[in-house]
Amino acid sequence: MPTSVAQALFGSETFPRLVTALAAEPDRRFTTGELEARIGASHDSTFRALQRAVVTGLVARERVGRQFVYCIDASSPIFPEIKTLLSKLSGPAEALRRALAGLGPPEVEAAFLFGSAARAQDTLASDLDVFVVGDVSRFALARQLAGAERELGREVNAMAYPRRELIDRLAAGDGFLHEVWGGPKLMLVGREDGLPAAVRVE
Amino acid sequence: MDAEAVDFQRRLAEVARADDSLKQVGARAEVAVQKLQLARRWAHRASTLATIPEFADDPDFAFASMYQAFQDAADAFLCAHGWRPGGDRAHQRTFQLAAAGLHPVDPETATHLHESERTLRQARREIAYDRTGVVSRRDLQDFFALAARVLPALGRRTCDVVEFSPAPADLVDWAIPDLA
Repeated sequence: MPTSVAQALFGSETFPRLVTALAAEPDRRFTTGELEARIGASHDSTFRALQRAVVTGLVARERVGRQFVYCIDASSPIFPEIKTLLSKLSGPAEALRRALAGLGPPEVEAAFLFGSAARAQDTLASDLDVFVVGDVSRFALARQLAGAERELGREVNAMAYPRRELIDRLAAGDGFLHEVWGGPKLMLVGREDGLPAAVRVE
Repeated sequence: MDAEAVDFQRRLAEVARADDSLKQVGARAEVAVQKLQLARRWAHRASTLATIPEFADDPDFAFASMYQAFQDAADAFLCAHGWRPGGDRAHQRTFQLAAAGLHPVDPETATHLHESERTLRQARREIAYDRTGVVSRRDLQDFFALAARVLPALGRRTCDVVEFSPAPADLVDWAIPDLA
């Protein structure tokens, strides 16, 4: 059974994420590796989604040296409709990334979606849970994300903890943090391997 | 009461016609001042908890106490106009209505309250029902900065509306520490 509207429509989570990521930066060409990191999918899954996207005409492929690069083909006759559909279905991550782009380190070192949206089990009415590693308050985050919240029509619950505090809490066995760290994450800022490690100190 | 208070009172009565969870308060001046004194006491507790070393590793405690000060101060402000929300979502409605009522006399502070009320309620709900270690020191710092602005504004306006004059010094100056 599909676990989300996007998966039910497109047959996979990777395809809509891929097209959304490419459409967010229409002037940029991506390597497969860059796309894998951007959408948090495996090499095989990304490769299959790229092949399908090229067949639909939504994505153009070009050889540069020994590798292929990909970009959105905005001239595709179905591109405007697909983009609108994706902004409703797969838009949260991109909208949140744009909203967080105004805050760099030390306020925002890394950020990710967790909970139902990261598990791809969310509905269009689900809240979006955002976790930020950085020195910023949840009040400042709420202000920063207010525009994205309006755009998406969904409530965003954001929390932030400084890296040092996170390391201490993870080491002390904080149950909530270990649950978040052990679950799926959809990275919005930074990379998952850059997050503090979930090491318990007995 | 001044024109703004009379107008807000009329708007609350209109809301109450469509929503029976908004209840009329009898002795509005007495109830409002008592609520305000209660809020002042919670703010003092929160300030003490936030600044003594024994509770330095538990910002949730000071946050929850300051939240109670917000709740009581907003409640006092609505009671001064003769109404108070009850039932489900009472906290949400108290904050939202207080922000709406404060707006004509102090738009900037009202906007701060309006923009922050959901964040406040979310954190307080997690603290009360879900887990420990909800808020960071940075959250507490920003919350106290908001409190230093919102609570005296609600206090002053509540005293004005019930014509409690001169307003006691401790309901005008809330002595909320700057945690930055």
